[in-house]
Amino acid sequence: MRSLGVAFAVGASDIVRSFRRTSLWATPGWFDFILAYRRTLLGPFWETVAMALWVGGLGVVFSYSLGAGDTQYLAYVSVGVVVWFYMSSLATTSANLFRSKDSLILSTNNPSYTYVLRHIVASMARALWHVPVLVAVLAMSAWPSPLQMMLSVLGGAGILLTSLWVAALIGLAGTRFADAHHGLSLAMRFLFFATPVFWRADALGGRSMIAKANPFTHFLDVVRAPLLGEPVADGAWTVVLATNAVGIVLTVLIYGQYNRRLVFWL
Amino acid sequence: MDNTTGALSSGSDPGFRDFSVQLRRVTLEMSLVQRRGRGFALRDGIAAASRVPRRMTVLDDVSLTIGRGERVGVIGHNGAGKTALLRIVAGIYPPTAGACETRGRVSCLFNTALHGYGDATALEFIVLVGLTRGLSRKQVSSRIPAIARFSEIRGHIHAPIRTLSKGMRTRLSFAIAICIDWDVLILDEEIGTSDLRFLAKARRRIKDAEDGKTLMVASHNSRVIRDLCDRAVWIHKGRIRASGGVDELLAAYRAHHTKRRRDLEQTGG
Repeated sequence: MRSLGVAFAVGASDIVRSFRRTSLWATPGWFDFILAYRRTLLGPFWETVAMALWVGGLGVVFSYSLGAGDTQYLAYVSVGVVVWFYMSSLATTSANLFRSKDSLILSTNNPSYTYVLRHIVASMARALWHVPVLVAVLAMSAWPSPLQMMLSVLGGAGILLTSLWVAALIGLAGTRFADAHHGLSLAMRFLFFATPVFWRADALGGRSMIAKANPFTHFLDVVRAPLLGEPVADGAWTVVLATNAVGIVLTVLIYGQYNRRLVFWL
Repeated sequence: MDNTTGALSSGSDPGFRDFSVQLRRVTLEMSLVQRRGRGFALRDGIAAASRVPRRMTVLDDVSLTIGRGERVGVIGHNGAGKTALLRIVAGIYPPTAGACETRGRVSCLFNTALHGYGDATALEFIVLVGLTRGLSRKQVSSRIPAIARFSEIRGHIHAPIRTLSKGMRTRLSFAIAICIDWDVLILDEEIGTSDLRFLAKARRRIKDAEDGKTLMVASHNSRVIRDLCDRAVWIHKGRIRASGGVDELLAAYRAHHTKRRRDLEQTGG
């Protein structure tokens, strides 16, 4: 075992070297996404269609059952679903991010974090194809002001920052423990209903603590609230920033400690 | 140097000052995870989860020096440790003990897998593999004609890579590996699956490389070793059993094989 100082230095060095070598992850990440649709008729627009169906379905069904049948609710759902799908798919697919690239990892001597960055590029590319649905729904409800958009983009940057360490941690765990992928898929399915993606936290009344105790609520809020012209909930940014600060330090340490063993776990 | 005298030695360490690769007392241990249960019953799952990985010594106190410009063939049975040795030299496996120093740019070919790019065209495949081997977009673009010409796939450059034959993929992977700037070229097994004509072409290309370019190739194919190498190293159960001239070492290896087969026949194994 390495000492904490050495582990941090090794982890940080691998991560910094990876960021610098963009050719190892930018274009390959894009191709990881686009090649999955190479033989299809709609190409990546399958993602747009799927998202439109999700937003439309949830919007129509729950706008009536929750008694909020307006375009504002549809905007609430669409931002929620787009952000949730990014976070959820990143978390579940990260468990296989190293395993799916085993032939490359075992034949090249590249910093292993480049595969994490590559996976994030592919996940972001996928989310990009969900944006047209968001734009359409926002155009139907209330188009946000430039300031609101900027604040929402800032929230998106917070989520991106989280992706950088969450994907690495889950990737390592998923490579070492084959159960991680299945456990995460199950957890994310449950959390979809336990997170205010399509329902409002204040609708829980006295039990809104359930939503507040869930960090995903705050990650959703920093992106969604500004776009809808609502104030970001108290403490949401604190949770996002504190989670990232702790997560980054922890990930660099764990990464420095275990990234050498990665090749033996494949 | 032992490669010119052809003498076999049980060690493998001629005292090169100007070396490309040097392994100093390298040991590599790996965890061998064995599943106890064979079925899918709950007790098998619990047994699998509570398994204790067995440590397996893949390479055991290996010291080896390869001089700049040497062309070394690595031979040995399946599981002897050839690939592990090459991966340590390529910097992919960190040794458990000891140290390995590889000088210069390394290019390697460990497999001809499609790396998930099956639906990419051959042209895109060259770009993607080139990028993951550390080339810039510009560097890859400038090498595309040479790679396509050498691999003889010019007529299929826009075809999905999954539609190319195994032989074409091997040629393409080899062409990418050899067209990247390298000081040390590492080839593992796959080159042995090439046809004789391409093998001769590969040999010419390697021999035409500038002086000072080092080659390490692992293969069961004695023709590959004889064609490409001027020195051989025999790995047996994770240790270097012998090192020396190619013909002598291949003859010793063959004799070992024959004796082993005879022993097995006599014992009915």
